[in-house]
Amino acid sequence: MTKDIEGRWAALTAQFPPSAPGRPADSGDDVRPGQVREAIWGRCEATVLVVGVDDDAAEVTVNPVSLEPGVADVNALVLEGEDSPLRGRVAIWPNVHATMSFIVLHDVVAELREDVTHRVLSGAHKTRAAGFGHGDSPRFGAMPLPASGAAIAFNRLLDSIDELALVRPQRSQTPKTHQTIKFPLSLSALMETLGITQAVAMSVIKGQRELTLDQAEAVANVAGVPVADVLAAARPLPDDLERELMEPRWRAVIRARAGTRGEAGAREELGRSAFALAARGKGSGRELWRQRIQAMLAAEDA
Amino acid sequence: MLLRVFNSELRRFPGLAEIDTAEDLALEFFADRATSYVDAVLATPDDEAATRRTRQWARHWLIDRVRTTPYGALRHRLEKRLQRSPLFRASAVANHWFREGEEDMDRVASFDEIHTAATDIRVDVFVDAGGRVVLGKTGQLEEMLLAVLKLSGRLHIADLTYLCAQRFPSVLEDGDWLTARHSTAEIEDAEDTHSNDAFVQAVEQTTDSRSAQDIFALLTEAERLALRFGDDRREVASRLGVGRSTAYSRIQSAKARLVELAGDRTRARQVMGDVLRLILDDDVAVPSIQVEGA
Repeated sequence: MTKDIEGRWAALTAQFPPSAPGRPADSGDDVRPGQVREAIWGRCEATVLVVGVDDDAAEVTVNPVSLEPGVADVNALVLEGEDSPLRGRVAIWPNVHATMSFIVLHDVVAELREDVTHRVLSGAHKTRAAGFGHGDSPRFGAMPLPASGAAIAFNRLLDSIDELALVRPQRSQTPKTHQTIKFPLSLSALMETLGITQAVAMSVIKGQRELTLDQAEAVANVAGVPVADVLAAARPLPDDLERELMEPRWRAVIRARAGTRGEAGAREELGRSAFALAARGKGSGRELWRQRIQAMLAAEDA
Repeated sequence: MLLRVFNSELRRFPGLAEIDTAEDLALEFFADRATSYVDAVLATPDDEAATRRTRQWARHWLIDRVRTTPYGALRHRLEKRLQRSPLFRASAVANHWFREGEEDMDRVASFDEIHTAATDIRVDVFVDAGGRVVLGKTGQLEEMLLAVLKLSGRLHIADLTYLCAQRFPSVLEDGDWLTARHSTAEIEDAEDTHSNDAFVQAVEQTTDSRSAQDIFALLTEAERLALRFGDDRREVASRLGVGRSTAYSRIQSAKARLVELAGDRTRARQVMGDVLRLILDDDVAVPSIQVEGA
């Protein structure tokens, strides 16, 4: 790179400090309408505006969002200046809705002001896309020309939204994802240790039947492993824990741990670890599981 | 990272690489989109996603950059043609044009109606002896513009340019059969290029008799596939390895190309059956075709 180009880069980049305005400091926020979030699954990603939340189903209704200049059409609402939650403009398509699982959501990118959210959701926000590049049409408004960069970007956005909307979680009750932690005793040893039938022992190993704490301690003594590991291997994860693990606040941790086995495996393992930690703890509920996961991760970081 | 991406992406745009360096283009891109680009990259969850987004944004920007020159040329030539012809008058409203002898006013018409009117008029597009793209034989383009303005009333030159870019998609595409021989994709009008030279006459005759076989040969593989399964967006998406929205866009583009090659909508409908038969004979059932920009 020549010195001249280096100088021009330096002058340009100096205008952009690394922090982004509008980005909430706490990315552990609950999912709520008005948040602009990244949705990502594999190599497919899109920016979305959360417009509805079904907390029980852990699903959101979203509108597609583009931060790319020029990517807009007559159906887009473009938030600029003070209305934009970011430095640049934000184009939203309120006429395109998709339902996505929480598990594809990542951090909050920005959050619309309450009054802007209200206007967007109620359809009262009338700022339409300004003209752009090749597709400037004073009479008909913004219409990306076929095969233009803007048209390709818009198609890619809608295609990604389609793909992301197909992703659904694999629950750990299903045989496919259960039992990532191997039961520490063989079938015959378990039958002998607890004096139970083969059918009962099989269902314990498959995670379909819970052990009492006394039984788990007996198994732990024979196998020479901590009792928490026995409990973690033998019991399906509580629904509240599974649900909590679908919150985007854990997504970065899960993605970082996923490696080649995929996110479902990493999520299950995180849950098992939290579950093992809480084996002797009392209480349940998502808030409690959140605290336990946080504590476990903090302990790992320490 | 931005420089690395531009170095790699520029290979897709050999025309640009001849006149600009990756460093210059990256700088220009950053100066053009910096605010939004910084927002977008900070939004991504990791370096891999940031690189992927940068690559996409760079590609979109480079595509438009390549098309800027032919688009500007198209507008310029249209304006020249309107100025020169006694059939059109400049409106009292800046940059607007209307039909001579009619009122200088807007009329209510949708874009689709106006676009349909434009595709109903025969305009033969061909390349002249100098490798320049010619939009219509003498009077054809004027006839199309008259039909458009009759419906729309006065129209901004930007609207007319947009309409022509839709009507003649090849004009903006770098390296296709129309512009391949002319790197800047200069758009000439018929009056400038219609010398009495035998070559032009031969070209005109060829255009007149452009058969389904000729049209078939000028279509890309992806266009043939989009035309073959045009009623089934999912099938096109699956065979091209793209999403439904992109597939729809490809189908529309293929239909527009067919109209352009056939000369008008009626003729396109007439040759469509023949083209489809040729497509089926050619057995284009390729499992998956990856197309640039997918």
